[in-house]
Order: sequence, then structure tokens, then C-alpha cells
Amino acid sequence: MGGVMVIPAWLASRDSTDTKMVAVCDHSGLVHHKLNNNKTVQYTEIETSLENEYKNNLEAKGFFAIVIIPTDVKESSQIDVYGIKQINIDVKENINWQVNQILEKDKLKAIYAEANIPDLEQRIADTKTRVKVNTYKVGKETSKTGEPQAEASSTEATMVIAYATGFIIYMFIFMYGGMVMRGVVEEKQNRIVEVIISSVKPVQLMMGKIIGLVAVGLTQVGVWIILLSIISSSLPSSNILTAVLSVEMGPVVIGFILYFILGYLLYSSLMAAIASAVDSQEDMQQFMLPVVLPLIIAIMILMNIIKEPDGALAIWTSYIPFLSPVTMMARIPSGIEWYDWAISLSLLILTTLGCIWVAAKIYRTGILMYGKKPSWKEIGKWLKYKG
Amino acid sequence: MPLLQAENINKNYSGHQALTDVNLSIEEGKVFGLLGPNGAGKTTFIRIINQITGPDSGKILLNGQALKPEDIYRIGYLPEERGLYPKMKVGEQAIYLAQLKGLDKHTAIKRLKPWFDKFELMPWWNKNLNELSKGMQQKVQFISTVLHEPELLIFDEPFSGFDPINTNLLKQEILNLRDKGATIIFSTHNMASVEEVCDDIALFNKSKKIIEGGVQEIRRSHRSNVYNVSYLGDLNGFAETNKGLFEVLSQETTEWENKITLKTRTADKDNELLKTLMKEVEITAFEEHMPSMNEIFVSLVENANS
Repeated sequence: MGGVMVIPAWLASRDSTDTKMVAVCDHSGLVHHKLNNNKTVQYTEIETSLENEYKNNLEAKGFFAIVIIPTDVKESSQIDVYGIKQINIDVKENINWQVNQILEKDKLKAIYAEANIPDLEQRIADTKTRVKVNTYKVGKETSKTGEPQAEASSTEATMVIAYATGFIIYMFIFMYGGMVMRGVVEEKQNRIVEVIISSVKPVQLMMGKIIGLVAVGLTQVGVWIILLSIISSSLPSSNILTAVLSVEMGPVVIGFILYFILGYLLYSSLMAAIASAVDSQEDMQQFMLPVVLPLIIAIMILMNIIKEPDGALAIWTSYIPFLSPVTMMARIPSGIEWYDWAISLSLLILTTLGCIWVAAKIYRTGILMYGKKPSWKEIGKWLKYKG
Repeated sequence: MPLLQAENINKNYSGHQALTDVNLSIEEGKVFGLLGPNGAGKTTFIRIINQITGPDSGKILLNGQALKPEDIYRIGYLPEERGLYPKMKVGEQAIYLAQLKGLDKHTAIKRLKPWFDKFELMPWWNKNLNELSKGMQQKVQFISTVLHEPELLIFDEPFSGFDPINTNLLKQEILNLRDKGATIIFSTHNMASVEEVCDDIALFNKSKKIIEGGVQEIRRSHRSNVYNVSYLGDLNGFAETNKGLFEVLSQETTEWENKITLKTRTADKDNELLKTLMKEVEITAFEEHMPSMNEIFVSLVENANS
């Protein structure tokens, strides 16, 4: 499963492997010998008189593109690139950035010469500054010395933890909710369900499936936590590790487990109800979307919440039950108030109980309905049937 | 004393009336046939007995007491729509289903062995269910239904999916279970099996029970004065002159005897008719035609619908 997250990231971060050959025809004479080659692009300067010959035979001469730098480039700030295919973004940006640098330097040189100040170039270069921002979180209590207690914190680590936990909850709800759904549809399709519910109550069968799978999920999470703590304790102390450990992990772990269990119960009970109402996996799609839509919205706004965990968007969405399992995780690592916990959790618990009750009613009727795809209206009627 | 009684059962599914004022009484130790066309309400009635669904009004009494949740352990149910987990081992699955019905693992295994031997399923104990033929899967299902030795057994179309040999085997097992004291509710469209297996029946049509009683009693009460007679000689002239007394339904002449089917117009005594005929021809066989359950079923349902 880790592969699902790691592989796309690795692919995206990889540079393209083949180097593009680019010819440069410099009419201005400014760029001469100043373009640097790298893994992406290799520049070859050509005689300006050969411009058209190269332009017309790019492929035959083994070039991917040709850059034409006009005489008045300094004034017009425009250059042309002709390629045998669409010029890709890496190549275009490389050309753009390098030519910009060259032209800037050239313009600066003129200013240095005019100002006539010794070592001006070096002095200006020295003005470039990189300040390291150390972040601390101020505690509520002040220490005996009267100074506020402040702990070193890491903005980056907080963001990473917020994103990772929110995303894992999102993914787990989909994964284990999906398993619940497939299990329900299978039992209905195999027709074993009537045999089983003549021995146990339908709601017992449904909850048994949901709870059984959450136990599997929690075991998996438990194994991860143990593995991670073994790995982190065996690693030599590093900046990243200190940064991660600077985030208060207690609330994160408790929050993760609570919001995972509640979010999973909420969504998987609805998914089980949907699965019980349809005959096949195909019919399920139509009913699935409205159910999982809030979850998708939550993951879409996750990044915005992480950027501003105390903003209005963050606070409100972390109270809305269908969103809070994901959005609350984006807030917890940066610290939340007790009433945030109270409001968010109590709303989520109430909604979850309500959804399980509704789902059990739908499930009980749906599981024995074969033949036709029900409408939302019919499913609504099932809620009123007597046990 | 009746084992199961239904009192004024009504059930409605969002505008569709599934059962209307159904009263039934099922005697202990009998095979009770639940008959009726598709959609008549049989399966709904069975589901109410199994507490899969509840009636809108009315009640079910088991041994004179209202149904309780624990009563499911006293009932064995083989639904019409049945199946098992295809990727689970046969033995494991049978044990699991027995445990759901309240047996412990040890007892379940002990009781499963003789059944598996009888149905020649023992070699398949550790195989996945989907490696078994359809017929064998049905046998596993049957065993799972009866294993906890319930007082009340409910079979909904038990013979569908069985070949004739296995159908007979199963029929025999059902009668054995009855002889051991179980009461059996048997829902089917197969009228031939009703005559062979059932003691009593109830016929459902369009959510209502339209008849209830013993199979022989019902057949007798639906007699229609039709007689099959085999004879030597000539009856043609006699039939012509006695048109007022009876109607000839069919006539057949074979190499060594003649056959005639008569319907008397008056509710005549058998002996009277025989006496009259004996004067005319030599009788080789005389039998009152008893309507089959199939004929009664069709005529009752058609009457009710017209």
C-alpha cells in the first residue's frame, strides 16, 4: 500500500532520462559560450549563417530544437524556439531561465561599470541573505522564572503529519468501507444471506462485518505504529526525526484512532446499506457517489486547512461530521482546544449512531430484495417497515 | 395439539398486500404443504415464522406461546433462495452454520459425520465449496438445515436443483425426520410431491389462504362424480339412451377391452351406477376418479382469480 503513495511521487520527482539536443543560433553575440549543459538539455552553438539550414533539417542533424536569439534581444526581450515536436516544459524553462540570467548579468555589468565602485559585483552578491526561521509554540502556563514556556516546533513536520494522517484516514475509510461493501454484495449474490439471517438478526450480521473489518484495520495500524517506533528509535538522531518528534504525538495518535474508527463506522454503515439495496457491483456506482462525496470534498480542502489550521474553514469543517474524520486530523498536530474536541467528537458520534440506525433499517429490507434496482424514494420507504 | 398457529397475520410492503388475515394451524409431527402460485405470500409467511420479518398485525404461536427470539434455534430453515460461501471449506462452513444455530463445535462435528457419510460427502470435507457440483452443494445445505435437530423444519422448494435420484433420497429423509417427530412445513409448486409427502396443506392465492385441510380430505371433497370404467361388450346404445343420467367424458377402445370415463349428473351412489352398468356389459375395472392436487390447485386458483 505504501507503494501507492511512494511510486507516483518517485515518478514525478524523477528527471526525464534522455537529454535533448538543442542548437543555438545567437545573432546578438550575448549568449556566446554562456549556456550551461545539464541532464535535460545540451546546447550546441551554430554559425548564424547556417540558421535556415539547421531550422529545416533539425531532425536529420540530430537536434530536438533550435533557439534563435535576435540581435535586439536586450530591447525586445524575445527569443524564438523551433522544435520538431512540442517543446516540453523542462526544456523551455531551462532555456528561459538561462537566457534571463545571462541578460540580467549583462545589464548589471553596464551599471557596475558606470558606478565605478570597487568590488561592487561581489558586494551585491553578498547582500543575498537566507534567514533560518526557528518556530516555537508558547505554552499556556508560564514557568517559575516567569518566562513563557516555549517548545521548539517545526512547521514542516506539523504539515507532513497533518497531511499524512488525514490522507491515511481517507484511504482507510475507502479501503475497509469497500471491503464491507463487497462482502455485503457477495453474501447477497451467493444467496447465503437468508440462511444466515434465519440464525442471526440482520443488524448483527451487518455490524459483525463492519466491526470485524475495523479490527483488521486497527491491527494493521498497530503494526505500522510498532514498526515506525522501532525504526525511529534505531535511527541515529537526525534533524527530520527531531522535527517530527517536536510535534506532540499523544493527541495525534488518540485523534487518529478515534476519528478513524468513527469515520469508518459512519461511512461503512452507509456503504453496507447501499450494497444491500443493489443486486450487483455495477448498480452500486450510482448510489455510491452521493455517499462518498463529502469524503472527497474533505480530501480536496485538506491542504487549505493545513495551511491555516485555525482559520474559519478549518474550524467549521472540523465540526461537520461527514468531513471531520479527515479535516480534524489536519488541525490536531498544530494543537486544538478542548472544546474543539468536544464539539467535533460529540457531533460525529451522534451522526454515526444515527447513520448506523438508518443503515440497519435499509440493510434489513434491502438484503432480501432481488430483481430491481430501487430508487432513493423506495429506500426511504424501507425505513418505515416494521421489524 | 398444534405446534404452530398463525392468528390473523397481515403484512403489507409499501402498498403491496403480501398477507391478508391468514389463520393457520399446523399439527405436530405432520408434513404441512404450503401451496400457491408465485407471489401468493408463501415466502413472506415463512419469513415471518423465521422472524426475518415481522407481521404488521396478528401473531404466531409456537407450542401455544408467542414467538421469542430464541425460538430460531428450534427452527431449521432451507430458503428457496439459498447458497453458501463458495470459497470456504465444506466442513468448516457446515460447522460455522451449526454454531450459528447454537451447537458447539464438538457436537457439530459429531453430528455432521453420519450425515456426511450418508450423503457421500466425507471426501469433500476439506474442499472449497465451489469445487462441489450443484447437487452436492444442496446436500450440504440440507444437512446444515437439519443438523441442530429442530422441532420445526421449513423447506421452501427443497427439490429445485436436485436430480430425480437425489429428489427421492431427500424425500425419504424428510419423511424420516417426520417419523422421528419433527414437524415439517413444505412449500412447493410440485404437486406430485405434495401428494406423496404432505399430510395437510394450505393453499395461498393473492395474499389469502383459500383452503386448508388434510390432503385426502381435500381430494375427497373435490370429487366431481367422475368414474373410470373398463368393460367388455358394447355400451354405445346404452349411453345414447341414458344421456339424462350421465355424460361421457372420454371413450377408448383397445384390443382387449373398452374404457369409458363418465360423469354422473346426479350425485349418485357408486354402487347404483355399477349396478346399472353391470346389467349392460361385463365390468373389468371400476374406479371413482379422485382429482389430483394439481387439478384442485389449478381449478381453485382459477376460480379465485375469476
